[in-house]
Amino acid sequence: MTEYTVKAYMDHLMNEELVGVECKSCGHLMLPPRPLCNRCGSTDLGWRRFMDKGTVAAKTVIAVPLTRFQDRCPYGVGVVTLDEGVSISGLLLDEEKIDVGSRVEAAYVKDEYGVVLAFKAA
Amino acid sequence: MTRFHHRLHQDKQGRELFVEAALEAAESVDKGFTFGDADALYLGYFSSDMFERQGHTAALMADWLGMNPKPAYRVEDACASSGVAVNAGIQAIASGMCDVVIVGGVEKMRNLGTAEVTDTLALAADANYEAGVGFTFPGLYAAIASAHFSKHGSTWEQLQQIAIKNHVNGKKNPKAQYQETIKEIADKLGERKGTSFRDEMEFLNSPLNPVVASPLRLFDCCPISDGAAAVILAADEVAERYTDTPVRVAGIGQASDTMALHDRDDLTSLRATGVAARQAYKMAGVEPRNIDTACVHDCFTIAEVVATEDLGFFAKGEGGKAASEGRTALDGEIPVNPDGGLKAKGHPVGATGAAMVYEMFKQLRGQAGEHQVADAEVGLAHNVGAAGATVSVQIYRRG
Repeated sequence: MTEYTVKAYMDHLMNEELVGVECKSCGHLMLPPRPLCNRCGSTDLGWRRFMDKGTVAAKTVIAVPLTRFQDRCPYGVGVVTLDEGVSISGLLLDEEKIDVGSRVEAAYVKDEYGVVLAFKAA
Repeated sequence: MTRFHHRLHQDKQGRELFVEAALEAAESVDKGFTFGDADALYLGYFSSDMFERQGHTAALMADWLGMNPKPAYRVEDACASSGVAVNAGIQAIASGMCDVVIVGGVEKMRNLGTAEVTDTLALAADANYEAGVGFTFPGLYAAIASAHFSKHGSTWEQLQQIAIKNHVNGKKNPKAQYQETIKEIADKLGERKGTSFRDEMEFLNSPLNPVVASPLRLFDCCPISDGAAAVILAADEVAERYTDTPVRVAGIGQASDTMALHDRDDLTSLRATGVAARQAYKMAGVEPRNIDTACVHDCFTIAEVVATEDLGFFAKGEGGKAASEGRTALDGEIPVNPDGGLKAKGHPVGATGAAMVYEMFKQLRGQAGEHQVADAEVGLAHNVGAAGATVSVQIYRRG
């Protein structure tokens, strides 16, 4: 059974750690973790801690929200390319200060459902 | 197909919409057709479970068409459900297992309010890592738009030309949800609010066109719709039993991509569109420049820009400019979405891929009426699931 589960990822997020996996066979980095490498197919993987810094690759401000995020509306969300070269989606806090190309760092927003990965201006 | 609409079908269920669409398909067969002639049913329905609290809908529709005991398959690939159902039906015939199949799709979305529809559509994104951090479905395409603007210099103003063009086309399509130009809608809403607009752009820049997910506003988004579409596929060997003027399937393609947008190297392109299109072009033996008209998946205005680039109609980064120059208009060099597209025709998500085939059938037989593309002989249908994790393409040729 794999240890590289959604639950493990969310538990790390709750501890304010951004953790994915590295393929020991081809070196491919994956965030969030997966049970097999989507580049070479290997299941020989290891945990990999990502640093919290990156650059915004895409950004939007949501005005018609998901139910879970109604109270935050309007809110920023986007795709961030981490300095390790891997991209991930997250809330964008202080969205008026952030645009495509902006430097950001990870933040961890906790709500009644759990934790949400977010980024704020660096 | 039924008319696509947000109010008209309030008192009907998905099963009734699908039977209505299938009956029109059967009645349109030149030499006659009964549902018992079909060897199988392939049905696209994205989320009957959420929208109608009904599962197992392929069996339901086969029963309602009186097709028992013929096999029935439900296909769920988000907004590409019936485009994929069409490909599956074509493969069933190509395999030799079937001579005739019914393919179609349906979605009855308006049972839910906008908030619940937003939540349901977000199920087509990665529930943990996209919807789980706040991405709505319009939000994903808004993110694509932000990357496209940044990388290629395309603009929101260019996107508006796509919405304007698709409403002009939709006005000419009796099946369309919105049979009004944006100028007509602006005049009507303006009158109600005691104001008036000089032109479409003044209206589209006004608070009457609110932001949904920046930079996309209401008129950048396809509507929430109810509707169904169905088509009948037959093997070459038996087609003449049904018609002397068939439309031929010339080529098909299909591809998948990462579920999450953020796992793609280029956020300004749907890689699966390029892969599926290349397969279809190769099978059909044609190039993008040979396509006379295309239905592309314009769930948002930016999606039409990206599609016309990824399908090879225009160079990467040039789709917005091409649209704003009128090159994709009904009388342009490659008329795109002559039926009004998802924007004006409506987008009952599971029905859309089959509705594109319906449009191609009409266009290639010269029966499209007011929105007929002159001399259309080769047409392309392009159906996308969510933000491009599934794409189906077919190329059709006048028989």
